[in-house]
Amino acid sequence: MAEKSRKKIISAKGLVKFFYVGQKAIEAVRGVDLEVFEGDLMVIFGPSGCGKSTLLNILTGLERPSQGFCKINGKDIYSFEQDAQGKFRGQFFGIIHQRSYWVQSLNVLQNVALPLIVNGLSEKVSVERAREILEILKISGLSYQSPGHLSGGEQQKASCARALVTDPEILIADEPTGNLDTTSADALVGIIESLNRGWGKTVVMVTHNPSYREIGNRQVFMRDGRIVKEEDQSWI
Amino acid sequence: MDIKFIFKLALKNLRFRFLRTLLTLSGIAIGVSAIIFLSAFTFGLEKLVTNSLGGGEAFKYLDVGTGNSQIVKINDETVDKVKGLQNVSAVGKSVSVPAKMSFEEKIADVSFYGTSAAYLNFSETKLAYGKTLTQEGSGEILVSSAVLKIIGGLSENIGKKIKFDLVIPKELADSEKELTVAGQEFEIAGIVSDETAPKIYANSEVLTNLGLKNYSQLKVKLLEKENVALTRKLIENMGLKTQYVGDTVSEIESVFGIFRLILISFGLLALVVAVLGMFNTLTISLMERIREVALLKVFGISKRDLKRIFWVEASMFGTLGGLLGIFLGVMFGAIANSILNFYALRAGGEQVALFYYPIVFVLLIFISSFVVGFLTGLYPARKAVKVDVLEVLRYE
Repeated sequence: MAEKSRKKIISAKGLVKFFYVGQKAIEAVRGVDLEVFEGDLMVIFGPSGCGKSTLLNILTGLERPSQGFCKINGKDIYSFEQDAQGKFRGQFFGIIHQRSYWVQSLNVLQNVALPLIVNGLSEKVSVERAREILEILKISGLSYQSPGHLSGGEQQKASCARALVTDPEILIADEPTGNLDTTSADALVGIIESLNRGWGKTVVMVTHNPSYREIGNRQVFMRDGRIVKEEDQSWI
Repeated sequence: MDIKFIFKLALKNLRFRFLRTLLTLSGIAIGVSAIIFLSAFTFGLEKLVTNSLGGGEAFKYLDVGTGNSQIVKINDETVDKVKGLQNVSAVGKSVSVPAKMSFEEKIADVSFYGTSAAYLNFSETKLAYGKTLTQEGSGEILVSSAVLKIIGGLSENIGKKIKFDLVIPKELADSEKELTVAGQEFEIAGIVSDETAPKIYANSEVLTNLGLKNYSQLKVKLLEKENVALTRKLIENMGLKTQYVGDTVSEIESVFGIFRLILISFGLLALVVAVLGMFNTLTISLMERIREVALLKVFGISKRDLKRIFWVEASMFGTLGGLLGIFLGVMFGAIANSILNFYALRAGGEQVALFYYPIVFVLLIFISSFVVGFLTGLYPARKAVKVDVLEVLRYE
């Protein structure tokens, strides 16, 4: 009932992805159906190699599925020409990777502003927006540091700021705590949770850490490329 | 993507890998400076040689003679015809006859020139002492400084008288046999700087009064050097031969052109090595920054903007390397010029500018550096566009 009143952001049906290793086809995703609604905090959980990241890559337009379709806000992202697809992804998704990637010659503030600059905004406006986000996440002290000099936890927080700077419709976090110690991981998950609970930001997070599964109002369990179980607590 | 930001990013990237940037720039700068230095040297030498031919004014004069012809003569009628041609401003005539000079006890063989003040002026004959020839002064002569070696003394010779026995060859006198005129006395009016040979200059009327009919050479002053070809053709149609400084200059230019090409080839070799170094730097830089490229692609950077980042960076290498190379080339040129002049002055020579930098050539080198830089960036830019984001992320 609750799903009908909320906007459907992602709709994927019959997703299959196989890779070829020599002549042999390996199925990473085997017939996944998935819907993500506005305001969801979906945690995709499962052991390493179960196809979680491949599924995220398909959803964000980075990996074309071998079969099935994936619509984002009703649009088939794979029907776009490469540049248009990139622009759409840049505006629609904010992505936090397992490991932070940076343009090493720029400082944190400029790196956080980069998604906006890439999408055509002036540097001045982009940097102003980046400054606001860094303040909101209480990490403005890192602004003028070189990202390579930050700790793993600080890097992931800054990465989170960069993912949010475009005010995306959906925040994608692919094993964001994978390289962090427990304290830093807890802090980052706390931020992600508050973004959903406080700001209403739609989040899809992939993790294999069972302790973070509970934060999701929707918990999707994957194994061997399939969704084996989904718990929806949205109604609560 | 804001082009200003792309420039800023390129500069930051160059600064971030400072040592590598410096080494790559040095390579390009050395190549460019070698080209600038070597070509400036050939340009400088060419300019020196060309200027020694009389500079810009020399291009306004035509030398006219009869060549080896025994039939064609240059006489007053010919002079009048040449004077009457379009684009001819003035005509100076000259003829040389052998003479025996007697001064006090000293006797010597000299060349006796029947000429005019105009001819001497056109030939840029330098007067060291006294005054030049005048139309009225038919009893006056100019002597070359080489004559002073025979008669001794310097400016005190002005006003002194010298006797000559003149021989006018039969072809110049239009007669059956040569004319010999002995005991002709002239007063020295001036001394001409010329150590090469003992020469005497007198008004041509002196010789015509003694039976001379033909001249050996004319110097024709043109109104405009642009129409020299037409004037030459008209003169040559009279059966006369012409010589123009432009011909010599063209020959010199072609010789120096080949010389320059050889020297530039050495510089080009250095530049090719530098360009390969730059290509290597950019390709390695792409490999190192492959995660950055993947990241920008995740953000949705367009293919054009991604290419632009590499184009701008490569062009900056070329431009900065070119500028540095030009600066170094000019600096090395100045140092070499100072050293060579130091030795030249010590050996009693004159100070000269051995290096010359034509602005068009320098601009051409600068633009070429930019273009070469840009072209070097094409391949890494194309490779960057083809970077597979997932390959990079999966690898990580």
